[in-house]
Amino acid sequence: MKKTLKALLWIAIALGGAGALGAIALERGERVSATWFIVAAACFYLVGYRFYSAFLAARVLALDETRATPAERRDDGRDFVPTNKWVLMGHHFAAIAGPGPLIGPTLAAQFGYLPGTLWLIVGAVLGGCVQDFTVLAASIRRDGKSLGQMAREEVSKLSGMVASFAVLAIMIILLAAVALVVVNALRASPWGTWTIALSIPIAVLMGLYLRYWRPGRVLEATAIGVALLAFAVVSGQWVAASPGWAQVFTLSGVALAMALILYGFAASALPVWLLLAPRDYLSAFIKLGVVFALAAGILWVRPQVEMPPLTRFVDGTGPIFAGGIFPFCFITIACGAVSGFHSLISSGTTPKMITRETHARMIGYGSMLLESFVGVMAMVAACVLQPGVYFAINSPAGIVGATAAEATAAISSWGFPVDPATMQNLARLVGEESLFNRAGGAPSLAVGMAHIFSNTIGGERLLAVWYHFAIMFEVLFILTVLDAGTRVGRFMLQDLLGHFWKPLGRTSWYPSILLTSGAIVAAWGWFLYQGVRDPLGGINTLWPLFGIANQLLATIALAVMTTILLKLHRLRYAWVTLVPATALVAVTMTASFQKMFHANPRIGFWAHAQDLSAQLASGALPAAQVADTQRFIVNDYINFGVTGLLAGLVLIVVASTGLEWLKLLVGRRAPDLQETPYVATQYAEAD
Amino acid sequence: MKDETRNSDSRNSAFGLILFRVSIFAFRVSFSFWLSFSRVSIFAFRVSFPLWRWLRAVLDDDAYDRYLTHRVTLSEAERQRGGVEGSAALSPADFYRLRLEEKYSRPTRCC
Repeated sequence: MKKTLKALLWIAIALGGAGALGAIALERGERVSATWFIVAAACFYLVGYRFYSAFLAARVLALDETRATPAERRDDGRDFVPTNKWVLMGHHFAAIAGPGPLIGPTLAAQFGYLPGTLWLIVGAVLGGCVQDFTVLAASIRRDGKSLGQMAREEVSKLSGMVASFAVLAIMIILLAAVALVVVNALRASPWGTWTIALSIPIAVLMGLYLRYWRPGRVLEATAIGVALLAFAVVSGQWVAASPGWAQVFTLSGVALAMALILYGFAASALPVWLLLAPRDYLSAFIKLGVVFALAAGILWVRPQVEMPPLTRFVDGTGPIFAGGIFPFCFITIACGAVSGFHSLISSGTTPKMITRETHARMIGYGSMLLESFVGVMAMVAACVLQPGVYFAINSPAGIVGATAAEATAAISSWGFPVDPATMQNLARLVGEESLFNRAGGAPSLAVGMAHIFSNTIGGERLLAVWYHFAIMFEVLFILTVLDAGTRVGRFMLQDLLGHFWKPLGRTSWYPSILLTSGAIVAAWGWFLYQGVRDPLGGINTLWPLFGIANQLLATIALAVMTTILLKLHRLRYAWVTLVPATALVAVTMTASFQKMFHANPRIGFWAHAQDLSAQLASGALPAAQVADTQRFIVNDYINFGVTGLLAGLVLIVVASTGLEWLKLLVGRRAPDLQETPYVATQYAEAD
Repeated sequence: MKDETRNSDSRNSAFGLILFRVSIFAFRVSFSFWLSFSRVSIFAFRVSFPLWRWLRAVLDDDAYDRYLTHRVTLSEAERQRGGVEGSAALSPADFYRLRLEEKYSRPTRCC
């Protein structure tokens, strides 16, 4: 009887999910309530978690409750620490949830809400969660080894090297892409710039408090930091209203880029306790709070989605970034569905803290489902805006024109009516001078979030405060990625340079710290600078590059996991990782090829360089633009080379792992797994 | 006269009865308020305490406490084996600094 009831309940959940998805997918000409998005996602996640992850845990990975984990066997109280599964899930989720699932879906909304939402849900359940879960389980069985080490031991030395190199390449492009989002969010915004500028002394104050006054009392320091940050958000309106102060904090894109480069250098070179760690605590606290608040806000307000399911830009002519749904919707969504970067966390800290093998299901698969849910909420927040407003905020001046009249006329001509007065009124309500030409996703997401929050608390009166709160939230945790990423990049570079000259490898030797920090910020700073100067908004170039790099790492992770599954079961369950890996190879290779060779200059780097060269040769360009154009041409060739390099890495991984699979299948290589031997757990059953 | 006294007595006893009933009613109401308040308090405590502990653990606020507990367990196990105790425990400041150095030398935040 109980079994029948359970079966009926799961059938009802599955039908509920299918019905909700049907409601949002089959809608034509009517506005859809955002509640359907939440119901569809929740039902699919529940079914995926209950059945697919259980299948993966029991059959594919054969997780063993009685087997001691590295945290138990090597418990040292610092690195290897058995941790409560709910606490570890909080750690893991806070680590994997970055700006990607917020920015990606916001940008992908230019295709309409449907393609992005479908990929967020399906991609996560069948791809992203599988990657995170399998990598975590594999790392637990190998004493918490990293993805690079597993690739080296289970596949080949070449795969290990490619994985290590890919991590550094991804880091650099990722940092440039997210830094550009910050620049576009704060450009000509004295309120936002003031709030973020004030967060630096707040973090330093917290750092001093934690280091000298109350060592390790993180919650106390975070409470002080959050209160001061709330003051920073509210006080920003007085700064914006004061002509003198507003001028000081109104910065151009280039000035903001330089400030970010300096900040990244300082955060990497200064002691970690002074700036990086306290900012990270603030960011983690606010991140968890805002994610739950946004979910509650959407359920409370139940806003109507204004964006159509599909827009005319599915043909690849989108103003925010150029390129068709395949592959660019998948590349743009990136982290919300599948993120290669997660494999570094799943094979980093988490496997060293897990108490039971079976907890990997909830922590690996479950956390990624939550991240995907954040992506769905970001999609909702972007799509509750009037499409005309959404495109007016996100379209670069190079596409729609520099003035309000030109931009609104161009956007209205696409079938998304908007007028200068509406945009002016919206800018006034959110406390900004203008909302035009703010490509990057952050401002439109902040407007959407402010709309939801202000309908919950405060109404239109508090719209400006909520908008700047949302901007603060987004920028704060992008900066956390920026400073933590620069520091880790510095460590990787020091590790590499240490092979050539030992002192350069010493992480506490200041000349080496300054040199390597400078090299890493110079690398991402160069991409950031070219993005800021790009008349097409920069996002058009940098976000697809980031997406390709990210999905490349996911391809490597899934290919390594396929090798491990082949060794475990031969062909029987290899499809679990092979299918998403094949899909990602198709996506990354097509996107790379199109970004390199597409005939449309807005998509292909080569065609863009040729187009600009032809304009230069014809002498049609004004003298003032010649130097800029020459620089754009060089940038195009460099981007062409970087994309080629990433595509080459994909091919190397596919070839080397494919060779290993063939050897395994024909029996030319023994399926020797590099797992640590079985040791029975000493914990009681209920632990 | 007797009637008046009887009437006054019956009025007094009726008043007393009403007063008694009102007091009983007030007591019952306040008792049930107190009961429900304490139930709510217990419920709130039961819900918020694990949340509080979870938040502390997720933000690493209790890392030093856990480190000390681990040290005690380790020392106890060592003593039972008849071995010698290792070095002294780190101070909160040293533990915090070392923990941060370790934590931020590898990818801790994702995209």
